[in-house]
Amino acid sequence: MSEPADPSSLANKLRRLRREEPASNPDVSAAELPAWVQRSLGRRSSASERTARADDAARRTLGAPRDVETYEHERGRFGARVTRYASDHAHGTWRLNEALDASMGDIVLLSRDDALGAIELERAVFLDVETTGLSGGAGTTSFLVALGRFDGDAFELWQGFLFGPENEAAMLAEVARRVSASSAVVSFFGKSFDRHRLEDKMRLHGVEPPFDALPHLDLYHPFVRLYRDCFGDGRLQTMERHLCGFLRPDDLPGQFAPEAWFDFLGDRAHRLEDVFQHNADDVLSLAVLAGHLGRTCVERRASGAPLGGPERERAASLARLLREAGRDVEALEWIERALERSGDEPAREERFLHADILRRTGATDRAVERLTELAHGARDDVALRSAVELAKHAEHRGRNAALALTATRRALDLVTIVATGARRRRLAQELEHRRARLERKLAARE
Amino acid sequence: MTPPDAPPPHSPTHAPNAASPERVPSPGAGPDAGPTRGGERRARAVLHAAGVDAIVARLQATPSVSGCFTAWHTEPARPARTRRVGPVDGADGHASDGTLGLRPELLELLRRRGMDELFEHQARAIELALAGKDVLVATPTASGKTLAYTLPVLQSLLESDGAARSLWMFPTKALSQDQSKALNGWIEALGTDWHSFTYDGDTPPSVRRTLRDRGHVVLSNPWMLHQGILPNHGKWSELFRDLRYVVIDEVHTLSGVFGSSVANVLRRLVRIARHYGSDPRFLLSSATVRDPAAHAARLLGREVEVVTEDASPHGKRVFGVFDPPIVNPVAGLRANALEEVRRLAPFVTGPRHQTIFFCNRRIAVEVLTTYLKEAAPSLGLAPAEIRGYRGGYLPLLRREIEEGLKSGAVKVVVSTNALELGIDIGALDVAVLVGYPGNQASFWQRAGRVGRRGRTSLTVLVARSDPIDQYLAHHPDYLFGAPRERLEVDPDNLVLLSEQLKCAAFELPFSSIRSDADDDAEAGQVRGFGDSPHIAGILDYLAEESNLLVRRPGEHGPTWYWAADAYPAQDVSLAGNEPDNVVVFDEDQRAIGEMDRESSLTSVYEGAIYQVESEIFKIERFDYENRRAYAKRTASDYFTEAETDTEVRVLRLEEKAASLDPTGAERWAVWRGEVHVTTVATLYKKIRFYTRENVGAEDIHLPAEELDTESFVLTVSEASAAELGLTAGNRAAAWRGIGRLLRRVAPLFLRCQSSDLGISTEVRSGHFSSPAIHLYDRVPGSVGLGGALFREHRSIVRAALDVLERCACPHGCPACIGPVEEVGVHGKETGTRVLAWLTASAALDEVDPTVVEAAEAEPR
Repeated sequence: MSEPADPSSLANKLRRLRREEPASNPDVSAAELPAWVQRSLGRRSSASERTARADDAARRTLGAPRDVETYEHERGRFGARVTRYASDHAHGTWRLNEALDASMGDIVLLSRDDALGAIELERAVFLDVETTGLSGGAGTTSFLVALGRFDGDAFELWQGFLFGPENEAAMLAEVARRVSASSAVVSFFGKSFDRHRLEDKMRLHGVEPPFDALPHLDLYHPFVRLYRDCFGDGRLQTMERHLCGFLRPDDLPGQFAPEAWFDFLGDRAHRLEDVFQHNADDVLSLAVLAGHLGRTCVERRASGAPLGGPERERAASLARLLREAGRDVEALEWIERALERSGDEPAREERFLHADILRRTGATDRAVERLTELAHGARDDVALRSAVELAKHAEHRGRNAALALTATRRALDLVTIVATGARRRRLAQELEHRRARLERKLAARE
Repeated sequence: MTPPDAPPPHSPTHAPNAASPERVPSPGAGPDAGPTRGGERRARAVLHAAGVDAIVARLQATPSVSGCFTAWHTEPARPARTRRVGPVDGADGHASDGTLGLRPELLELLRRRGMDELFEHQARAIELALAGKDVLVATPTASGKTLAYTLPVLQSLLESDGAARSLWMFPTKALSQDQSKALNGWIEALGTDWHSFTYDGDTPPSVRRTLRDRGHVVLSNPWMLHQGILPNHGKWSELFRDLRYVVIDEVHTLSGVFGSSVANVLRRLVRIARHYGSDPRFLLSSATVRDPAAHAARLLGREVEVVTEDASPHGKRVFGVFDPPIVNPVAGLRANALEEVRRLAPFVTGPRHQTIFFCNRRIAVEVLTTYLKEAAPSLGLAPAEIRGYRGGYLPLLRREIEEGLKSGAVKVVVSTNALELGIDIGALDVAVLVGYPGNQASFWQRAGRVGRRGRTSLTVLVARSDPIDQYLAHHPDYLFGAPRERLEVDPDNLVLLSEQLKCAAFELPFSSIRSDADDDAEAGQVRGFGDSPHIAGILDYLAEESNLLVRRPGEHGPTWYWAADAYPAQDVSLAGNEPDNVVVFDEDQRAIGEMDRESSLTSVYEGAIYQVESEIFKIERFDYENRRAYAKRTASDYFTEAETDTEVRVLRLEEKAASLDPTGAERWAVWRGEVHVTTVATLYKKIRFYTRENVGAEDIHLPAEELDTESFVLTVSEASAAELGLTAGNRAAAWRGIGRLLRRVAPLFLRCQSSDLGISTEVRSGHFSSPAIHLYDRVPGSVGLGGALFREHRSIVRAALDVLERCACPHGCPACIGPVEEVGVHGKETGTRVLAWLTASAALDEVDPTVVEAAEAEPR
């Protein structure tokens, strides 16, 4: 402990002790080092692949990103690029200000969040951040924070940017100020990610996080509820492509963002221009997707043009959401619309939902008819659920023990085929009880 | 043992389980009465008052077993020493008359629990804690340690109106859950709305946020702190802002690599607390260990007040050491310890008392439980009164067994170390330890499971055919004297420190302070993470070579920021920090084993027979580059044994002590120094099970392993070696046998396992030009075992000689220097002669450093 550290010999010693190879060009050695060394060194295995992209070098720039103004804040300095778009700026086949035509009633229904009923998108911030990783934790830095807002006949995009990690507190303080000045937050998956990245670091830097006080519309959940089954995934880019006709041929995927910033910090040529563009596109998509979402129930844009997107799935999803909200009459309209839109072969799930809503709206004869068809039409989970519903309904509402017993037996046949695990045990037990009870009832009558 | 928070059952002034609210004294009981449970117990006690004393008498009077007891030891009953507690008067934690003062709410609660007074050691610890000191209570199991940290925490909560928060850490999840229940009992009884909760892998994510923001007391473990809490401290800012106390239970478990890593985790904790403006005090508890003050100071990096005088009462305690009879005099083989326990079972188990058996391996728990259940009728027990207990059992089953032990429904429990730490099972009557648990703290924790107030308890240690057990069989003084093991912690081990600095830099940037006095104007000094002079150098390394950090100019010097897309705590383990452990997979790609890279050389080479829980595998392929070995289930009548060639190159010798003859010539010497170890696996032998017949050998083709560490070296001068006959042929085997025996008995004096020490023996060392034995720390960069061996070598040599002299075998056996096949027919004789000569020679003198310098300068 007494002798002063000799950096060169310390480095050698560390290399030996940590069993790391002597320093060499990381891009060359990365491919050859065993995985544990790379993990330990923090070099990602695909680093060389990424840099090898043919168009890569041409897209790189050196130094600060263009048009970034420096802000002097009491807690340090940071940059921001402000871009003003005309509020009728076209983003894909939509215009930004179509967001202002959104029906908040639709948004409440689709988000299942009553707090959103009172928000005005004119006064909301559209939030998207680029971070140094997805893991979260104190070491994850949000180096680019975009806040978009409507401002008269313009849409202002403010992109706060960190010149270095030392100025995080200053930028976060400004972000908190801007967010607090708004009346709501709109994001895509931001309730689960962006908000927490900012909030964790704000608490770390002693900046009061503004999010608790504001309603937050996270577009991810309603869009997944509406269109989950038709697009295969619930990503922002999937939604904007299919629903708003916005394509990004030159997009730099988000996972390359950390490297771009690290390259900038290391004074190497970087792809931050592409990261700014990606981030800007994300925010503009938030606006048009919010507009799209707010027109779901009328299925028409304010201009009168059809909304676009998968109509049948939308109708079925709306029926499901309305049923969950206890709005059975509207739910019935939407499920019948979904069945019409399905043509000759409506999906069995939708037919089951239809029968269920029929039953709830009092059309019991039709419900029983549909459930009977479904219970016997195939040997799948819909058939099982139909038989179970039918048995319950026939026993308690229909007072038809014979029908109930038939349905129970059918369900018992199906349960071993289609159900698994704990659900199978539970259902089988319930059904056995029901069968015994029904058999006793019928025996007593005879 | 009863939980450390609970004073011993049935003490005059204490309810049996002070921390469990459900067992407050029943209203109808007299002043001296225990709880309802105790009433029933006492009734039984009256009926069978002679219980344990009668067992001891029978063991001593029955010829078939009495002869095997090599020692009996009795500790008489001891009364409590207590101190009165008054209401606090003023802020300094004292009552108006100068005695310890507590808030009236707490006093009232203590009174309701039958505690008008506290044990002297509890009172002292609480007094120190309330005075703002860091405190360690190092007293035996069941002496009421938990109370010593619970009361200051509750008092600070009361005084701050719930603002003061604390973080409690336990070495196991089960223990934190157990303690959480006890603490909640206190909080409920105080009628406050404080929240205490356990934060571990089982905490549902849905409630975590509420817990983080509202938890007044957070109970967790070092792993959660390391990987969950510290890296996410922004989420925990409420806790850190008001963090008043950090409680760490059972700090004697924090040694070696694990302890050194945890010491760094604590540095990270303190750094973060300071960031949020708090400066928590540490309240520690430990089993009785050697030099607890030094241990705590190394762990925390600051001086700690230590309380070691146990003032709690206990009944008469009887200890017996049982050495199984020799069944094969030629091989020196003793009867199997587990078999002998079956023979003892009828003596030590029965319907009228409770017995606990401790086994060192899970499989032994199952074997013994099965046997005892089968034998239950002859023991006067129902099979259901006999239970096994070990890690891997489901929590509900464990709770049920624990409750059965407390209620008396379970009469016999067979356990691994799972019941060694403070899970509350009440006090039992008889403990049987199947083999020495490997260290003194564990021995006492296990023995502490028995002993009810006013009644005799018995602990029997059954020795195995192993040098340490055999040593203890003949040296009960070792067990019953003051603790002898050194706990080694080295937070500044370069490997551990650099890994932990990675985690710390992720959490908060490091800034250096450059002062004019610093020679190294480049980096300056980085404070707040221990005293290592290498911090700035490591940070630069992590920035420049590992690309994990960026270095930015700061106001007073550079600052290093985390700048990588990674979550380092995930890849940094607390127990051993080898990033390159080898994992063994079976045919179904299931991982069946893991080992460090050095061990892999001798255990998973292609062709090796690899055993897991008595299943036999053959290693088909060893992908050395990717650290994976692939094994296939097989039937084999042989096992394999690898031979290695280990070369220890001395880099620098730092300490030396030598024994000189009257003329001043050196006879032998011990050294401590930095070494570079190269290990090559050369070939493996196939050896038939049981007969040990050698049925073939194959080459091993693997690259050499390199290790930089610290070593202890024992050398004998050339002249002395010649006199002792340590020169060639068979004598080399004896010299190797001596080395191995030293390695096997070393854990008696330093807290480690034999396998933590590497060994190399040479009859003629190139470096020392004489016979040399190297025992080196197998942790890269070392966690201090080399130094500990250097300081303890006399005790170790003495113990090795004792084992040899006491062993009944004629020429060497596995329980002493090794079997004749390994050490040769003269092995034992030569070994005894050399060790006796080493022991008999005069005390060693510290050697002038210039001599060390000269040795260092010697050409290799």
